[in-house]
Amino acid sequence: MQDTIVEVRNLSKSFKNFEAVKNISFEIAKGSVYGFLGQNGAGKSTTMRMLLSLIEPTNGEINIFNKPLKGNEKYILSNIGAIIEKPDTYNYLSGYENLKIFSKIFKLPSTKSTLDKLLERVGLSGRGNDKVKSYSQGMKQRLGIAIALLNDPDFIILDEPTNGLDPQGIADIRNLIIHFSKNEGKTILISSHLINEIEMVADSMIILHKGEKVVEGKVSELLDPARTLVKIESNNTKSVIQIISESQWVQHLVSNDSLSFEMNKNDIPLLIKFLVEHEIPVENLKSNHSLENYFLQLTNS
Amino acid sequence: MWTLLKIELFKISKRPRTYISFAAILAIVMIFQFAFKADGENYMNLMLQGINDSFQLDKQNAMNGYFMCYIILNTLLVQIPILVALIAGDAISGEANMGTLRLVLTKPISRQELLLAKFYASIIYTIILLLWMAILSLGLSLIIFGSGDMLIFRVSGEVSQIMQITSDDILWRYIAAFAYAALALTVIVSVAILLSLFAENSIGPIITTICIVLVFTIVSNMNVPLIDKHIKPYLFTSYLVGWKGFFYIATTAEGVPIRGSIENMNSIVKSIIILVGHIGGLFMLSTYLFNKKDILS
Repeated sequence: MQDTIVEVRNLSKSFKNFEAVKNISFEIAKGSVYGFLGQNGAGKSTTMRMLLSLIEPTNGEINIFNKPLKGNEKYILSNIGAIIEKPDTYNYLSGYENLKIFSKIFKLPSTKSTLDKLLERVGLSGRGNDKVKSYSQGMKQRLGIAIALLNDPDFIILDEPTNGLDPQGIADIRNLIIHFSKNEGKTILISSHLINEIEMVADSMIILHKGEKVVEGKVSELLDPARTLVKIESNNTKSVIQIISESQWVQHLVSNDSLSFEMNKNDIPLLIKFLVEHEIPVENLKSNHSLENYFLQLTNS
Repeated sequence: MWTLLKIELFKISKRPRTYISFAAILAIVMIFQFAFKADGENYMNLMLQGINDSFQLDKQNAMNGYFMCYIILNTLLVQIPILVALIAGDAISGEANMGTLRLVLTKPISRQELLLAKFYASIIYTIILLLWMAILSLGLSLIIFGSGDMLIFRVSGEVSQIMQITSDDILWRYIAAFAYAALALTVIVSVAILLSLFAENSIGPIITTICIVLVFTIVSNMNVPLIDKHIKPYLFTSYLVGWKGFFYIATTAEGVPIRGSIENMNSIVKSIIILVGHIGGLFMLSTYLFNKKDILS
């Protein structure tokens, strides 16, 4: 059994009459990438803020590194690196000056060579002397990550780290996350409102909706290809359903009045072959994972 | 703690708004000095109107650096709270606005340490501002106007009074007055930092602090018996001008000023105790509220 870095039990947070997080529990294994998935307002950032002691929970327990967060904030935070929402830094200071400030808080050496190495690691070489206000969004994000990595933390919390980045920036951040997890053994908690972003980096995930836990598990199981949802559009749905109902594909039909199938992604070519062989006119065929479909329904509701 | 304080001072030193106050003081003091250099004699005539016949005063000598400093302090120490609020009102709210408050608080420092560092840094800024004011209003005035005995014009009720303090008995009074002013301004720092906890941009706390000081100062200057008895003693602004007490020299029964004396030391001590009480109370309240605050910025 893997060691647990984070253990959250029955965590809730209310702001006056609004319940932002409702009785959620989860565990994060050491060395894993754990994804928080949910639309805006799902409770992801509130939960992350509670893990960082920025918000006091209304109820529940948080244990990090096998210690209760309450009363051990300094010890726990000294081993965490975090970016919450936006990577805001002191924009009237240079990249170096920002890094120096946080190095001093951690009582770490802040020599130019040390900081240069860090800037190089996040792809900001040669920009240390520039004021942060002259940085692009992607560069600010990289500086935020550099600050989060200053103390060589065991546990990294990244709240929507790819927000506002261009495709190259998104790919770079994704590669960094994978690198930290696979090569440096760091535990990472990442949030996103995009399922494919979580799918690409996370080992386990939790879906939050309106403050509640909807589903939790290993990404490989939750996004099992066997649970792919295939939707066919045809100009004669009824007769197509008739043909399908007399074939082996009937067992995959989700309902009797629409052409939706839950099936293994690998079997899609066979389904297409079947449709062609029976001269079934298909106007469109869409496939997505049933969890993604479910998540999209939540997002659109 | 020392590290955090150095960081806070570094941040203050890097913000352009920090230097607005220094430029404002420089401008005001130089305008005063220019005006008095050019037309100081008329001012003295106006002040000494009515007593010219009773006393023979050397007006040229009376217009010296010590006197100039007193005139400037009388005017500037009322405005300085505004300049202090510019920095202290930004302490927490400015970081909340930039989004750096949540970044700093995810590091291994306690909220109390952060608040204390910001509080000390604002006090140090206030002291440096006062030192700048002292250099300009006292040092520069002594260079421009020279030294000499100092005349204090005092109006108490319907009685006008002129006191003379010999030149060798003045400097310590200014040191004490500036130290008292630093304490009085620390109350403003405490108010501004407390208000800064509730806002996510610095405009609100800065303006609110200035409004509180203005309203309280107006009430403190009202001569209504009911207010005198029941309200003024509880307003910190009633004690902001307590520094003047160091220049009210005690006299003998014959009316001869006693060198090194203060007329009402008890009143000054009482004012200091009340100011310290305000600072302690406001800071404890700020710490309590900051520890309880959810950081949502």
